Amino acid sequence: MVTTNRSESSFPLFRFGEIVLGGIVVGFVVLVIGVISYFRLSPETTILRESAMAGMRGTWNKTIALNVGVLTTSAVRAGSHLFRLAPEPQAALDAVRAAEVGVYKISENAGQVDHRAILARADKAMSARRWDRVVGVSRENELVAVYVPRRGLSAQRIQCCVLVLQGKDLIVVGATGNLDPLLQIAGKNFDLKEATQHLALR
Amino acid sequence: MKSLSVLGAGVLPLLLAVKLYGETPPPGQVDFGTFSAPAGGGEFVEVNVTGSLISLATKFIEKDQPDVAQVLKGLQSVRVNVIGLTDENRSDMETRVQGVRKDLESKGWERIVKVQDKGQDVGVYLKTQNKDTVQGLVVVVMDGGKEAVFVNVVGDIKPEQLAMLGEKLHIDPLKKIGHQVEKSEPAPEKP
Repeated sequence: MVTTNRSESSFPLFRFGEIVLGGIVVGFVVLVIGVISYFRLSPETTILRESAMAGMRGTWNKTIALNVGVLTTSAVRAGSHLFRLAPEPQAALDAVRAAEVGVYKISENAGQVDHRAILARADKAMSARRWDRVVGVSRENELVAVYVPRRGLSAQRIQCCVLVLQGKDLIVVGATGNLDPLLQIAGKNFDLKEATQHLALR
Repeated sequence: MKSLSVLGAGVLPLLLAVKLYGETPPPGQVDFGTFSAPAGGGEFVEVNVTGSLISLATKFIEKDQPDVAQVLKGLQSVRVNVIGLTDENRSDMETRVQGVRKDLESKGWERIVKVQDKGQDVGVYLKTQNKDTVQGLVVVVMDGGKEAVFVNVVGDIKPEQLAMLGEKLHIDPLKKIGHQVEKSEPAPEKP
C-alpha cells in the first residue's frame, strides 16, 4: 500500500518537472527564433535583395539587416505611452507596425548594371506573391523600385517594399503601418490652422 | 442528376460572364504595353498609382483640400511612363507612339491638344461618354530626341488638372506635362 501511495504521489511531481523543463526548452527556442528573426528579412524584401544581387556580379557584404516585427513595435508603442511625447512623434510610433531594412555593399566596381533585368526579375517574383510595382526609376547608376500588395491596402494596414540601388550600395526596406494616427494628427493640425486663421480674422 | 447538369449549364456561363465582366478594363484605360529601362543608363520612370493608393491619398488631403480630394475621388488609376531615348530604342519608341495614337483614334478617343514645335510632339486625347463625362485621358509625348512620355489617367479628369494631379501625387513628369498642356492650344475641331 505504501509503495503504491509513493508511486501515485511521485507521478504528478515528475509530470510537473517535465512541464517546467518543456516550458524552458520552448521558451529558449522561441527566444532564439525571436532573436534570429531580428536579423532575417521578410520574403518580399529578400526577393528584392536577391533580384538586385543576381544582376550584379561581385562579392556582396552585408552592412546591416534588421527586422523589427509586430511584437517589438507593439512593445515600443505600449512603452511610449508611459512617457509624455509630443503628438507627432507619438503618432509616428503608433503608425509603425513592422519595419525592416537591409544595407549591402558590393566590393568590386560593378560597371554598367542592367536595371532592366533586375526590374524584370523582381517584378516576376513579386507578382507571384501578388505584389505590384508602383514606382520604378532608373537613371545612370541609380535604381529605385517600390512595391505594394495587390490587395488588402487600407489606411489601417499599408505595406510597401522598396529597393534602392546606387552605385555599389544596395538598400532594401520593408514597412507595415497604420496611417490612422497620422491622419488624426493631420486633421488636428488642420483644425488648429483653421482656428488660428479664424482668431486672426477676429 | 439531370437537374444538376441543367443547373450547371445555366449557372456556369453566368459565372463566366460575371468573371469576364469583372476583368474588363474601364473604358478610359489604355494598355501601352510594357516598357523596359533603356540600356546604357538612359532615363526610365514608371509610376502606376492604383485605385487603393489614390483613395489613401484622398484620405490624407480631404480635410485640408476638399476640392483636390473631389478630383482624386473621381479617378481610378494613374499611369506615367518616361523612357529616355537612346540609339537602341528610338525607332521602337517612335513606332509605339504612332501605334498608340492610331489605336486611340480608332477607338473613339478625341484628340483635344496637338503641339508640334521644336522637335516636340504632344498629343492629348480624351475619352468621353455622352460628351460630358470624362472616362479617361491620355497624353503621348515625343520630346525631341530626349524622351518619350506616355500618361493615362483613368477617371474624370480635365487636361488643365494634370499639373495639379502631378503635384499632389508627387509625380514630377506628370506635373511637367501638365504645365506643357496648359500652355498649349487646343487641337482644331474635325469638320
